[in-house]
Amino acid sequence: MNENPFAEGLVIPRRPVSFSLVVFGASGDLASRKLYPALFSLYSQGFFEEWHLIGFGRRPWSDEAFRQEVQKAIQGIPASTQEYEGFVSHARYVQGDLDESSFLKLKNVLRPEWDVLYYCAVPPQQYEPITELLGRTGLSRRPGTHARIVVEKPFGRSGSEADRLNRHIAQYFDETEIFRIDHYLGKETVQNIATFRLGNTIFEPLWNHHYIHHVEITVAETVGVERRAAYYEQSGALRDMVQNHLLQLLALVAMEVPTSFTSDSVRDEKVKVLRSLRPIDRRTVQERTLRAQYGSGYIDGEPVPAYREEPGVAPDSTTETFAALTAYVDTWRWASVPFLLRTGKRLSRRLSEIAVYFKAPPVALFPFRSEWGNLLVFRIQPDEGLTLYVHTKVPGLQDRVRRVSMDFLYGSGFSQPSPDAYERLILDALLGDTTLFTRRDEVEASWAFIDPIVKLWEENRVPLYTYEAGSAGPAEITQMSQTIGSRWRPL
Amino acid sequence: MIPLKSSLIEKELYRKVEEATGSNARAMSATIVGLSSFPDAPVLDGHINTLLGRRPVRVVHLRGNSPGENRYWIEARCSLDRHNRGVCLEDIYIETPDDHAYYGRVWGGLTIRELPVLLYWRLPTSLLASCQYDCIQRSDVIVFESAEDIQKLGMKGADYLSHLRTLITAGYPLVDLTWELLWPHRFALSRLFMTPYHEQLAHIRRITVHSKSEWQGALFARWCKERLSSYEESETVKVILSPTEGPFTATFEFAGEQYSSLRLETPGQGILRYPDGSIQRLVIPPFSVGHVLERLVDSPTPDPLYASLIAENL
Repeated sequence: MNENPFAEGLVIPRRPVSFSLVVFGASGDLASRKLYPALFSLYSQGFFEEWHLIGFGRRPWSDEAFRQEVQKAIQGIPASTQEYEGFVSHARYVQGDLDESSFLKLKNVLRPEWDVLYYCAVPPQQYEPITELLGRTGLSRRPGTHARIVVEKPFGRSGSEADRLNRHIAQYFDETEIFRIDHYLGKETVQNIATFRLGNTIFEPLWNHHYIHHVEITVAETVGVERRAAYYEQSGALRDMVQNHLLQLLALVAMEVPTSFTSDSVRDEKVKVLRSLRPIDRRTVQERTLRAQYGSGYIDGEPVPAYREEPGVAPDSTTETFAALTAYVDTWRWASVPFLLRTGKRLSRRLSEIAVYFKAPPVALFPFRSEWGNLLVFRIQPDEGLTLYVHTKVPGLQDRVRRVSMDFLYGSGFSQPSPDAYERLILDALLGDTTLFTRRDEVEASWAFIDPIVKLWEENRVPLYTYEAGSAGPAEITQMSQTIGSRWRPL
Repeated sequence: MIPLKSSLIEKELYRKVEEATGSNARAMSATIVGLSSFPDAPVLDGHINTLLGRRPVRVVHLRGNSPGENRYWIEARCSLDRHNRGVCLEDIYIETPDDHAYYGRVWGGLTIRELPVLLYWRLPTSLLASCQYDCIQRSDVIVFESAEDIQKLGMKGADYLSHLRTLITAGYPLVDLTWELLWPHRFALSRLFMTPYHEQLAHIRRITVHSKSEWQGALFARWCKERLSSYEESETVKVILSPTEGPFTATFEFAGEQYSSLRLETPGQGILRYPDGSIQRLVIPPFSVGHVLERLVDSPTPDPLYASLIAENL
């Protein structure tokens, strides 16, 4: 029985109590491109009542200078002058280094009776000093209020690094106060995977190895390494994308039905999937993984350099910009169902999607292409939505069959636009809802799967192929899909 | 009978929306069919206007017993969202001097197929049965306001409750605005018994509700009784309803003559008093008929708690 029966069934608007949001890395790219616009959007929709945005950084800015920076970041968003001014009036700035006196200065600015959310929009090597200083200055545990922390990826470069970082942060914040952000989980279509599976009886009975031939997950980018060469050289596509985004998507597709849709129930099921991933070892690494790096080429008609010619990249770099692998989830439900994952930079199209291939009918009564089963595609970006491919008779006097699509587009199916992923995630973090954030054991389980692949790649047990920028990736990838009797969806 | 050519109406609506938005309008989300008498129409229109710029909806305004001849006309009202896309209300007005405007065969063809239909019923609910086939079968939810309805029907509380029970049992998907507008009261009440005060729930002996609307107060008290029904001795809890011109208050008396109370003063403000003498001022998020309609356009389902509240033999 509910402790308070009057709260039962009462739909309460998701509004945070009074809070300060402290942004470490306040002048950085992430803050101005994502955080401030997302905050502004929440603010202009009336989600906030009493709040402060506190920028923390080294730059010698005044409050006014910081407000101008924030204003610049949001000025492209249609709004009234009153809304702009109202929003920036909540912004404050604390200039300081990563030292105790600066953090004590920050402490003086924070309202002691308000909750606080620390957002680490800084390089990962600063996570440890920041959390330690928050702990030492009493900012991580504040009596009567909540102190929470958001950390961006990458969460370590390996399982052991992630473990060390987890243990470090856990000294100062409880697990329920740590928000490891994976912005893919904030995307509307990604959240819809579970709703779609568990809210429609027609699919869940088919969601297993009896009916599903394989699942293909693609995260393709047209951009190159941009200004992140220093980070990317240390990371590569496997750590940068597969370890977090792609494995999280896989977990959402493959998880068992949770007992409730609460944070821990969902994450309990996801972590079981990650722990069930069949390890890739030296016997299978060649067959089940592929790595490649982009050469020069054309993107949208413009010439682009090869990865090794990008500023900040070593001329003999062996960092992969494309990674593909065949994963298996060794559970009763998914026995022998391949999950094909691919991700890469400088590909022909920016596209993220999950394609669930159903098995073809057991007997071909109609002239039928063997690879034609039904296909369900979750389009994550662009054109967020769903497509279900079914077979129909072609009109006419002959019995011909054709695959046609049934489409649902978020952009036109609903009367309001989908919120940006960061809007949803920041609001959840302010409310203390961890459902869409990665839990410590999920991070550890995904690294446990990725670490051996990294090691085998570093031992050069898998060739590093090259693909032309603007192409669909290395030609050798077709081998992976042919092995399972299919072919990749064209990019 | 009013001759309506729905194909022409569709074309004209399309043209008007295009004029207003330059072919960049968001797709409609639902149809609201508003049935009202001519004098009551401004109330209905006022409620629906709150959706302007918030949800793209087709609204069929049906006004029976209107002065003059049969007539209809259409309008499109649009505003731009933050993505510069038009969010429009497609208005179709139908007026008849008799009750023909209400006939499902008149307006049925004007609803958007495959999208939810919300019937906003401002006529007495005793008439619902008269359009069981024509209206109800076409609707996902029927929105009405019980505090007004009970007066229109001239019924006493117990009889009216029985009337609502009959409708719900017959499968009418009722959404009662009087109940929905009790949200701030329920919100305040849930806060009044937040931990650690929830332990007092078992000791409530008397509830006194002061409300401007007797029916609204009764509905609130009924909610309290229903929620307390799992506690031992809840059957002995006395409920006292008292009309007032002042603010809504509810007082909970515990064994040992201790009290808690909630008081809703201006909209958005509440005061909670606890037996230990402490007082908490509560900020209540804004809530109006507009919010209810918005929620119903997004998710057109009746509140299951309401059905169980009416059905419960308390």
